[in-house]
Amino acid sequence: MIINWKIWIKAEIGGVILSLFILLGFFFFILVKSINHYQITHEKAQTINEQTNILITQIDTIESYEKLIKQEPQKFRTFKKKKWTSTLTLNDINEILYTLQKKSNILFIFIQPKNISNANNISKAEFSLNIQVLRDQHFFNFLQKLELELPGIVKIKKYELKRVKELNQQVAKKIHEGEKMYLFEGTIDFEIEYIQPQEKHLTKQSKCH
Amino acid sequence: MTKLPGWNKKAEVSQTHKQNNKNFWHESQSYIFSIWKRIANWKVYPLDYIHLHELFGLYTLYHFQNNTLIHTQQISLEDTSCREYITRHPNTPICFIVQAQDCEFRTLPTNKIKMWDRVFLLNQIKTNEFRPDDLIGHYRIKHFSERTDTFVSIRSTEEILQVFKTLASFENPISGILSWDLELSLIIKKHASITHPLRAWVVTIIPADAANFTILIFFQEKILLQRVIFTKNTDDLEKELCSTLRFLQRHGYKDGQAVSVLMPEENSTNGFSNAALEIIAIPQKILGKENFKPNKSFLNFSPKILFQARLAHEFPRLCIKFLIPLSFIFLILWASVQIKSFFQDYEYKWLKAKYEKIHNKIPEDFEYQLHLSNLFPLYLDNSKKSSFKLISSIQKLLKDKVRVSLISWDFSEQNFKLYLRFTQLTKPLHEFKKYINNNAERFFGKVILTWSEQDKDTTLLIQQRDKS
Repeated sequence: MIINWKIWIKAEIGGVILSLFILLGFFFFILVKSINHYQITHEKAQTINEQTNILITQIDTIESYEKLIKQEPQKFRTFKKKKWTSTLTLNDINEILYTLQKKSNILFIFIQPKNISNANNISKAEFSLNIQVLRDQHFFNFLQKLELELPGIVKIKKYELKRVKELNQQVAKKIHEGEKMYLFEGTIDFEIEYIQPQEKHLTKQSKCH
Repeated sequence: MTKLPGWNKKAEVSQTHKQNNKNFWHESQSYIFSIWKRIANWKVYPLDYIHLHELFGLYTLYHFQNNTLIHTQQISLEDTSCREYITRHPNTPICFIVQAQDCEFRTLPTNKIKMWDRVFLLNQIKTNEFRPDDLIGHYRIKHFSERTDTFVSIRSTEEILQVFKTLASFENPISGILSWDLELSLIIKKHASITHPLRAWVVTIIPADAANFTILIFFQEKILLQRVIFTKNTDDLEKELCSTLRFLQRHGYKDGQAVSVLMPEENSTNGFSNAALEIIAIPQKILGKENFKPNKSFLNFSPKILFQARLAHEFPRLCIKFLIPLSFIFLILWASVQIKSFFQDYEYKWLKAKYEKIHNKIPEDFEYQLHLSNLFPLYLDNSKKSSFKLISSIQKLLKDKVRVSLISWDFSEQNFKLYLRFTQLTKPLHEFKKYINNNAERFFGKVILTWSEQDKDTTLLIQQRDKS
């Protein structure tokens, strides 16, 4: 069929049809635009509302943290001493363990790390220590130092202390003369959980300092 | 100062340019005004129209402006003056009205026919019952639960087909192709039904000329038959009517059943001798072709050749009818969304201000403090489970009483197990046991104590009771 354009270009026919479709299209366009705007603002409002709620919750958490600090000042002191600002590596732990060895008068027989996925960035790691001590008190002191001075949250899972030599006069004399002797042997299984702060936390912290 | 010829030429060109601009502006204005006029007057459109009436091969043109007849002209197909006249009014819709004394009717009850079968069936009737060139119209009657589809066909002649070709060659839109007999019969039937109660069987008598009548027979709303009668005599007319009624018996007419006969005032007699025929006189002015305004025509026929011209008349009407309400719906929706958006924007701004207010108050090391605040409770929780208190309790409990050769501590699933082995006891064992059993709860809380002895060694297993 050939289109007779002469009929269709008339104002009363083509003009009316075209103008009505333009009108409809225009109204449809502004409707879609305004719905779109409404949806975007709705999403934005929801997001900002959620963000505000999160912020309020975070502020509440910090407030309760401050209360806890006041309630447990001694524990907070040890908590603050822990290394929370940088990545934790296996070398760091080894270094600290040897420092503790010197301080605590013990002898490491072996240190066995377990379940370490990344030695340069430890988030969770287990260790097994085998040590020798002269007195049982040295062992318990060392245990306490492990908990307090190793970075992160240290959980002692298992330990065992066994007397390997009896204390008699000869042994006491040797000890008195300065000979290195160990009467107890012990094993310690512990776990370190280290939640590393995010990059932005660190920058803020460093700025703060 | 003498003007050079070049200057004059420039001045002429700029004047023509101005004139063209003015014309273009004027034409655009009139084009937009025409659109507006068409939309604003959509209910009464067209006020300006041409009717082309056919009667026995003769054509009469009636031109109406604002519903007033302004021009009448007898025309023939070869007539150039008619072509010129129509060409002078290219925007005026043309309605072609044929006398149509050669109509055929097919009635089909479609009560029990399913929707999807209907289209197929109706198409079959169109192709099988009528000739391809015939003008076929179709209407549906719903009388109570009965549904009837009726087809009306006008037999086309070579001449009428030629008229269609001529009409297709014009720029004018076609407002309709109508049958004069059908339209007029329905108009007078409607008119008569206002003043007189009509019988189920109705006969309309339409005069074509002085001695030529068309009879249309209706049963309720169904058109059953069309006949052409050549007579001047009332008796002959009655005879023709009676013979028609006899024929109608095959369509369900029973002898003696009353029939309303609608006929022009001019031709109506004092009455027929047959009492079943009730005459209702119709005023002559209704029957005049000059007064015919087919704003709501009953049956519009559309030949294929005039499809585009018909569409050009109908499509803008449909667009106005549907697109304007749809546009208004969109407008209302837009307005309601805008109102909601306004409040939403306000809420968003308020929330944003609130957020910023809180955010501005937080210290610089907020994130780090938050990190520590999440860790500190974990640290405290862990330190509560520490064995140091327990160890110091054991040291207090066992001081100067026994010598421990083995201590084993195991923490799993919220409970601890402490295993102690003693090698020497300064007091008898039963006294020591009694002492431990009495003081265990004070030092360790709720625990289960298990004693065992092997050679010189005595072992004690302290197990924390399940907290649950």
